[in-house]
Amino acid sequence: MGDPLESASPAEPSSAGAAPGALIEVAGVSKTFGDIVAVSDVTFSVGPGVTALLGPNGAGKSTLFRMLCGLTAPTAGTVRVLGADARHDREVRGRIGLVPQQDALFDRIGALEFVAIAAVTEGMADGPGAARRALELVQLDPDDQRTLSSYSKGMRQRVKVAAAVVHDPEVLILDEPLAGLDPVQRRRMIELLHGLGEEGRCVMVSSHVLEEVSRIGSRILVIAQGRLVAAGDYRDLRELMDDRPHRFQVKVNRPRSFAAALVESGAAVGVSVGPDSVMIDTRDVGRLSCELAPLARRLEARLNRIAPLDDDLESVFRYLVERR
Amino acid sequence: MTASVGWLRAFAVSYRVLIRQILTPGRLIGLGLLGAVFILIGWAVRADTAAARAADAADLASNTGLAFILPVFILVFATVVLGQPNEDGTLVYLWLRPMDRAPIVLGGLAAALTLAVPLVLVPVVGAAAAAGADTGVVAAAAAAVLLGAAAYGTVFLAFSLVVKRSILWGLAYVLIWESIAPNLGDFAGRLSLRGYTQSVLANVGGVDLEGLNPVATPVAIGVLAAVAVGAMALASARLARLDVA
Repeated sequence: MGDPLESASPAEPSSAGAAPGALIEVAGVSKTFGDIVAVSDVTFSVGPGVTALLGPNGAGKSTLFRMLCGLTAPTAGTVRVLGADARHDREVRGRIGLVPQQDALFDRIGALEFVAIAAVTEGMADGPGAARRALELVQLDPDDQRTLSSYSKGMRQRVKVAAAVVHDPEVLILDEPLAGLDPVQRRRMIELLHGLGEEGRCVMVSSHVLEEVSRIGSRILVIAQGRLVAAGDYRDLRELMDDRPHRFQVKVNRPRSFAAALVESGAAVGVSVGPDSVMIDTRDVGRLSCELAPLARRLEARLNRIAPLDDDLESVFRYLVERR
Repeated sequence: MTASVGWLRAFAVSYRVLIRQILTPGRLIGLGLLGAVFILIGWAVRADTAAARAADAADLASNTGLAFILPVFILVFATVVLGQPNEDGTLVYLWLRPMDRAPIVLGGLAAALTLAVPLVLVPVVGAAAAAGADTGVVAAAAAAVLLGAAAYGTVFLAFSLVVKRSILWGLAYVLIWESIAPNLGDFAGRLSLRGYTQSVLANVGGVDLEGLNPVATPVAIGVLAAVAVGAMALASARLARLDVA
């Protein structure tokens, strides 16, 4: 199996051209909806194996996936999947499996028929037989007579995955496939995705949850505000995130002198002073936490509250966007 | 590895899926009740006229049946058959498959007409018969409904792939443009589908319809067929270029 992320250096988005063996090639792709820029000048290529696309909600993940499948055309740049443009190449569309983000299904039919329709419309001769196998693969009962309208979100998600894999596609694109699954189902789904990747398929999975991504794929593309802001191995990304400045707000009764002393001590790389608080940027959280109390004692200041301001993933994405 | 899907299979699958998506009790009961009211009106016309005339029945079939029931009932089904999957995101399950676009559109059209045509045909023909129309007028009304259904159906289906809130635009077309156009002169009247369905009724049924200057039957049929084919081609092309959710 080749390297899933064919052309990307650790923690730096790829700007290189298509790598040999790439199954997905995205070059200078942008997509706008009126004045809104959904995807901006994104370039990467992906080979066989599992690759995760990480980004906050609204980052452009779904738009990027829709362009890969040909569901919408890029405003600029080129998208090639298996060497062709899926929007105009019918044959290539038949070699892609997509799990879309939206929950809607043909609700008036059952799971077996839904997946069998997917098989038949993918040109398979034995639609029901293939559908049975696909449903069993995602641990759903092919003989369940209920219509999809009565299925839970997790079951509907698995039906979507069954419909996407029923025709044995070479490229599998899954938009937030773990949404709505319980922990056991998540584990099984991740195992399934790894299995498909190990068989040599190109599996791209999106998520906005970092810990989820760490289990889905060791190769990660990070997208934020429509731009590819990082790419590489999960450990590289984790280090990059740990190395970034962290921001805290400290409520203190003598903010000005407290801020000056903090900078002088070297525990903070930047401060901004408010009427009753200090905003602190630090690269060394451990050192800062050791310095705060002794410093307050020395200045005879009273610390009222210490709160981290950027422990959420959104701030990590913001940092990655700003550092570009 | 999969193979491309043939026209017939693509048509059959699209038809089978889409007809069940638009078959809702609310639509059937609502439109069925409206149709039943129309048949009752036919009886009332006959009871109100000392000597029921074929022309009265033909006017009823024309002014209410072809002018209102036909386009509005067809509109209800034709705009949702692909418009609703496009809005709720289920269209992706047909769009992404290795299938031509035309059989998907045809399958959708067939699904819409399968449900809408009986709901139109029964009240229009029933009301005409109840009002005292002879067999010729009843047959002409049926022919006008079938031809009109194909033309309106494809136009409204194409509408749903081109504009948002297509049902409102379709209603505006039927209730505003088709009502006004015949009063704006012959040329404007020719830009309305209603004139052609009414021409079929008048010519085939051998009756004079109030305020109608009918075109020849072959012209009416030709225009309705051409509109259907043109709208079909537009809908297929539009579906191919659609931004699918």
